[in-house]
Amino acid sequence: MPDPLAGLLAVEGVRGVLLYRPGGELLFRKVAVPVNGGTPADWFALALALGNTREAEILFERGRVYVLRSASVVLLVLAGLFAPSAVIRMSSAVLSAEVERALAPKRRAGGGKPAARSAGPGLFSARDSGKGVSP
Amino acid sequence: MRPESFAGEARAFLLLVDDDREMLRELGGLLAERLGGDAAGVLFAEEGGAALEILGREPVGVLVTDLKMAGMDGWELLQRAASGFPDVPGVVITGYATPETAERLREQGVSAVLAKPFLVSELAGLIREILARETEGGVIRGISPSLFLQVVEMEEKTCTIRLSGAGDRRRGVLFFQGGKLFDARLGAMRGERAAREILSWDQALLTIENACPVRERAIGRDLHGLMIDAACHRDERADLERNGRGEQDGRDELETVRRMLEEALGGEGAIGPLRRDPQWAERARRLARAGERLGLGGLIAAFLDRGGEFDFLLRGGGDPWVAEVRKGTPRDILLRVPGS
Repeated sequence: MPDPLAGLLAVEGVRGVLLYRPGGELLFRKVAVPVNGGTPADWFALALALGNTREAEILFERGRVYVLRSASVVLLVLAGLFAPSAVIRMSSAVLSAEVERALAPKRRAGGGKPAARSAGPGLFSARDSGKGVSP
Repeated sequence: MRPESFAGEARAFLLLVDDDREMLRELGGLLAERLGGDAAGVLFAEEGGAALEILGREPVGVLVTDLKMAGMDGWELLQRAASGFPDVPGVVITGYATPETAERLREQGVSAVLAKPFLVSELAGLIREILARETEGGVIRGISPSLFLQVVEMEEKTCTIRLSGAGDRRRGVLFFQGGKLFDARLGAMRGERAAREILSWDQALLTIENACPVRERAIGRDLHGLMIDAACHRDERADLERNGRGEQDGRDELETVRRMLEEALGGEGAIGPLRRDPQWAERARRLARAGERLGLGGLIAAFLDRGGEFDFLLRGGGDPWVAEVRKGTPRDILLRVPGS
């Protein structure tokens, strides 16, 4: 099965992807140069400034940010001004759904207590173990 | 602090940044004497934040800064200046200049590093040399920017063009790579908005530097399209002046933008009335602040789906507005249409 995260990062013009829990806990970050500065908290502040918004596309003078909020994750995609936004939206939807599935409570066979929440193997590979790449 | 001024309004200022006030005044005075008419004057700041404000407000030609300062230090100032004001070369004066520091600074794009103590004549010579680069490709007076820029495009020139509008102290900067307009700056404003404003000037004094520090393209539209926009902008401004209206009628302006949006979308009914709303304005300001912190520049526009009956288009800038948008409206078009 194709890796949706790698797919999103491979979209032309995508400079970075950040994944948070709704409370602001960083799950994953990969932000490429030449983006200047910006701690994970600064990036999350952008999502917070949107208030109760499900999906947003924000156009700045030097780049655009796509934000997709679902029940368990907030996804931020940083892209250049000429990046194909429709492809980014589609790839983000696929990734978000995949992460939701990975984070959803798992039930043991026969029905028991839900297993502990985890990102699950395979979704976040060693390359993107949450440490990310500093901008 | 007030600037030490001398002749030459069309020339750029030197910005001197150090938290040692006495040294700042003394050095400023000495430099003003030695530079004479080569610069418009010397401006002072005692820390990085104040320096960035001046950079956004005044036509600065060279930034001279110490590294160690209270508040925002020289390192951060240089980094932010390189991002927001790439046409302004930086010179570092420091008492802690090691070869490693100097190397690191040069890698960051700093033009020169001077170890304290230094001769004022040495610094003045360096500044004069840097300022001279602004005009190495020539100086043209009283020309319409649009005309000249078409030549730049045709000849596929790589250059930085600085324009001083007639009758005011504003200074616009256009960055060309291979004849393509990559970016523009007018004060703290960047990108397409700045380009449109600069291109609407009737007459300008224009200087050409044969290099361009901007490598990443921030303007997607071609010069021709921008010039058409700029011409409309100029005509609207002239109409307003002719009619003796000191300020635009806000409602008319918003209705004009709404009609432009409807036209771009090819039909009626997709956009509700555009309105100025304090809560949305605050949201726009928060987004703009977050964007600035992340080095993304000013907020142009945002499209928001809040899960309700309508989506929203929020326009940034000095006087933000918001509009309800019918679900399914192509957001790429909404975000592309100019705000005014």
